[in-house]
Amino acid sequence: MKKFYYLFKVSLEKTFKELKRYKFNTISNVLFFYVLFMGMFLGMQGFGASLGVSSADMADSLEGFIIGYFLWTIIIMSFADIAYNVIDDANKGVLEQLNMSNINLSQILVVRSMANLLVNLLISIALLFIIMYTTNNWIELKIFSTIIPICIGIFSIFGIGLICGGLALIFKKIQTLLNLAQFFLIGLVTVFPENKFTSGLIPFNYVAGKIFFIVIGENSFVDLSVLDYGIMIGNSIFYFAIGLLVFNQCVKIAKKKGLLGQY
Amino acid sequence: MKAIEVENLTKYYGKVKAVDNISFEIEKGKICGILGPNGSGKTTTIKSICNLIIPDKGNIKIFGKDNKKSAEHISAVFEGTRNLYWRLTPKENLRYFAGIRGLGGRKIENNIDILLDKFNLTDKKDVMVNNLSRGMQQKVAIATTLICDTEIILLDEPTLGLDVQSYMDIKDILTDIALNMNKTILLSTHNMDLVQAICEEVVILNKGKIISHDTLENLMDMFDSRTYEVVLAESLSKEAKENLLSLGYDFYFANKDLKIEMDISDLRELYEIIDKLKEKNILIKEIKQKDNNFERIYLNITNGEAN
Repeated sequence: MKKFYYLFKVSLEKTFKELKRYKFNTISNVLFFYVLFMGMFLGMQGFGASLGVSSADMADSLEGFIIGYFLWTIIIMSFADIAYNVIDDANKGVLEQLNMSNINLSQILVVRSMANLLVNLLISIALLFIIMYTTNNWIELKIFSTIIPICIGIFSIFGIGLICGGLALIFKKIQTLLNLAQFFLIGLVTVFPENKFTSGLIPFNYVAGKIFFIVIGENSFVDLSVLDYGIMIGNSIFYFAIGLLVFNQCVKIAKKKGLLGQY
Repeated sequence: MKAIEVENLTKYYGKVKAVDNISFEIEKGKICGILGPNGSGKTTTIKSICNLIIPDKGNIKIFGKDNKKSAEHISAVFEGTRNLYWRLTPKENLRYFAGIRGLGGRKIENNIDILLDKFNLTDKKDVMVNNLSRGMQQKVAIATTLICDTEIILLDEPTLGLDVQSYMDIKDILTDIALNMNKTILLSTHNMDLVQAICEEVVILNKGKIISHDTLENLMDMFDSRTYEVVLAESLSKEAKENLLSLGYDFYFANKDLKIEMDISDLRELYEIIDKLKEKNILIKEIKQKDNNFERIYLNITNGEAN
């Protein structure tokens, strides 16, 4: 366990340092999420008003929209952390060094993504408060109750990130797929099937639904049933396991073709 | 004890055979150079040992164990400086690369300081790597392999693209590692001066095959006292050059054809060559026996003399 602790520690340190040293990228990233939100938010408001939607209904929709956006920023960052960092590390020639560690490459990527998740959560929560302040739509954010399902469900997103990262190792130029995956991720936090088992089959979807239930329904994480937790954990394990399987297989293929150090 | 055992290693890239059924062993604590022209299979061999490339055939053992289960014994630097995070400082890079191997704590922090001091990087420890010179970046890259304290270090072209001063620094560092750290090192380079300075044995590859594997000492002995340099009073005409070449000796023309270098197996051949030059009325200014350097030996071997 100690080795994972050191891995986590240096990953966290690296993330903070790089956030600081790639200032322009960090600021533009936060600005992008903010501007995109405001554009969509004002558009929604204008569209609702033109359709004569009541202010109470509108407030509910906007709350849902804010939460959905908050979740989307977290999952998109977590997904991107794995998928894009594999490409970035291959570019820098560091991927081979990571692969020579006595810790499995997929484990390194996941621990690193967990460190990044911590930072991303801080950024997303800060962004959420800026958004709430700007739009004057205040949501009672139960951080602890929200973070527990996120931490359970995020492993399904890591799984998707691992699949894309693995494919990037072999096919190199997969930007189109990565862009498509980002749209797919929007669907995960905005479309909710009626049947909970159907929702439980879609990565992160059930978790997103439960976060809406907690935040908008003014509930707590203890209000979720054992079945809810079972579905969330099962979904995460399933997609994470597929992600690991595909990634490790892709690493093997990349090693056979001698592609690991190339980009 | 054998640190590295490569047995019948074969690797294809598509239809191209990059490495062709090679086998060699390196004893623990030895410094071995792996040499060969571009495309001879050096990097593929090194990366196969590191388990970064899966060979089509053959086995690789590290201290008797399959190399796939031996990551804790090996660290490597590949081609120049592409092994670092450029927006981290040398100290942060060292800490990070120790961390990804699950190493950390006070001992590692102390070792980082010792390494930075040893590599004359202490005053640059807080400067981002992208602001360092190429030579310094290369020092940091080598230091990242030492911070993991593995018994085996693989270095792929560690002096590529360095200026003279940086090259001398890296050479000193590698010599120090070779002499004082009891590491097993496999060094791939085109720099024969470096090989001669630190390697105890060499594996020479050509077209994916081993054409020579011996100690440096044996190879130097094998070609000892056979290279002579004849300095001429005037440069050779094209006709005279062709004439000399037709004699079938190993001639190398240098310095605008004012010098002839030749490898001869029998000293009597020297008289024959002098006679030929006399016949052609080519005046000889000086004849000297050249110090045998490994570059010449390497060229002889790769040109087929080893056969």
